[in-house]
Amino acid sequence: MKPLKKIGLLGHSHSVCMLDSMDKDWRDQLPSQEKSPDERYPETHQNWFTTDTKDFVVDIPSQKLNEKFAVEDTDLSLYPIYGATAGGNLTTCTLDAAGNKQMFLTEVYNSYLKKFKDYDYMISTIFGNDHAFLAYVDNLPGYDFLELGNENPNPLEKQFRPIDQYDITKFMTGYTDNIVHALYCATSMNPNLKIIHLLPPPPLKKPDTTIFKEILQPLLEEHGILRPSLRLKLYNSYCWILSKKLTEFGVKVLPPPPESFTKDGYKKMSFTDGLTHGNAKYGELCWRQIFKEI
Amino acid sequence: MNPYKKLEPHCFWTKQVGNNTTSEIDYDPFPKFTFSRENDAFATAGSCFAQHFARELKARGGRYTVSEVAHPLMSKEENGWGTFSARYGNIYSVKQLRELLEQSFGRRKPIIDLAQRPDGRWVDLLRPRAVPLGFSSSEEAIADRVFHLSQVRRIFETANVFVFTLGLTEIWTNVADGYAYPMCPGTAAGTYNPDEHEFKNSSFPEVYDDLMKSCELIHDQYPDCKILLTVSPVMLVASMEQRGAIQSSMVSKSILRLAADVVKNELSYVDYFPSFEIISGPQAKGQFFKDDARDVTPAGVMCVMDYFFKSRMHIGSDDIIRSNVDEHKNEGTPDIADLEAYFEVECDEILLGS
Repeated sequence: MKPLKKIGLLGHSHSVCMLDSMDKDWRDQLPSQEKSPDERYPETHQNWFTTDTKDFVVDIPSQKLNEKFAVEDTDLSLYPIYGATAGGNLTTCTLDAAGNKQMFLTEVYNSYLKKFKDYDYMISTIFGNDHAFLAYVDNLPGYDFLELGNENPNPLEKQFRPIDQYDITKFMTGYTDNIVHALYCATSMNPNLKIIHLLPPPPLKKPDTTIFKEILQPLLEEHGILRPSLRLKLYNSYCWILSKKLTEFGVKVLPPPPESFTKDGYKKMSFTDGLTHGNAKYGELCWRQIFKEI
Repeated sequence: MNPYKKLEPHCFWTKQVGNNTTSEIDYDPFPKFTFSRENDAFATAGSCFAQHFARELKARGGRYTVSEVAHPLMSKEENGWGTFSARYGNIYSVKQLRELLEQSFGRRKPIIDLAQRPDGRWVDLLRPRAVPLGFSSSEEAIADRVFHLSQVRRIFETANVFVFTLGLTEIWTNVADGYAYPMCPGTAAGTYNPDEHEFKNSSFPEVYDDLMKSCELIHDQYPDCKILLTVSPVMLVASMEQRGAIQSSMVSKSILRLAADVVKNELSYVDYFPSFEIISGPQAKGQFFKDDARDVTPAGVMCVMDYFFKSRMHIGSDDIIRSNVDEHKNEGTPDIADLEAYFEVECDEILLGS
């Protein structure tokens, strides 16, 4: 009998669509919590900030995976990290007495990584919304930059202040480092664990097409919406920097499924669930991509 | 009876100098303008000595205009911000000032002259040390230059006093288009090419013309802006002329000092402040020069600025807000090395001697 392949998914809010596409009733198993409706979010993300999901797991048996995705001999476990789980930052950095950076796992992340000890694959959807504030909210003096990783970037828009790629890279690294550090620690703790990180969905071209502005709602009202061309550049540059860093230590990086993009690179409304997230249909496409890879 | 009997005491050397210490001498008894710390906003440009002026003005609570500031997304690394009112770096020659103003006010197209460093980053040869990090590509270097020029113009929307320190007459120019470089290409950045770069020692008529045109350019656009000229007392690091650095320094400073004097007399909105005389006049007996007899000591800078605030802003030493030096005072007697470091300026000319 072939040994079962063990796959686990670990992620923050971008794991919700992945769970929804596997089992629409998974929320029935969540620890009980006070329901407090949050009109900034769709139904799928309600109680995100009030539910502690430490030790919570949704197991998908191999038979179900086979029926849904024609995947054989594979067990799947899904570990969503809700906002109230104290899993915000998975690693912390401090300076030792000599000024050297020391990285530590948080207690919560340490407990998750221990669970993955015997897994063959970790599917990561950790973080991913870190740059969303920058990409949607128009609260900075107007600027433009040359898209990173693009050999033929669009020329700089003359009416805006140019920012050098060096500065953009340094700024974005502040966001991508959360993911890079966390996954690096995972590879160090489990050298045999193969990690696949799923990049977040692309941004919406017109945020006003959704009523669910999530945590950015008041900021968008106050400052306005950043122009879409810059939003897309920020997203693409973020993905490029993150991919480059993760692949350096053997993490496989998967882009969002191509069907989820409009022809000019934004998120299609049909795959949208709130401002920054994909829906169950989107999650299903992601799984198909992942299983093809595995 | 003779006309000298009607002169004020300051007009006599023995009375102006007398037994006064260098901090007691009234160097500038007939200023055209005085200023208000609260109401007058200053902008600065010029040679490395001008950096002292900018720093001390800020430290003493003067209103200092900086139009070109780092965008919030820009790295916090030191990258030329705030040294002057815009990120132009040291402007040693009046020709360079005139050309900068012409570009900023739309009187000529932006001058683009770039070089790539060994590390692959790009440098604007018209301000090679003003942006230490350089640029990732030539496109970004050009775009930043265009933005920079717009910010030079913006200086005058806020500042009503423009202080310019004249530094050098010896310059390097572009053979094809005639514009001035702040430094010979090949010293700080770029590659020297005798077919593209030629030496020029500006004559008095040329300096005078460039200075007049620069002042008129500012006055045409911003008639309320006063211009205060100073001459840097810092001597040349090197001279291309075949007469030695000492003679070349004297010739350069004489030309610059004369041009400043003539322009000040001809234009009602231009005045002169005697930094040069305070430091290098015989009354100072050389005490304000460092051991190399070229650069200025911290005590010299303090003497200049103390006198400026006393004579032009009617602020006595008790009223001076010295935020940076106060910090030193809180830690006890400042170490000389600390003071020296505080007064360090970026002098591009040093590269010529290295």
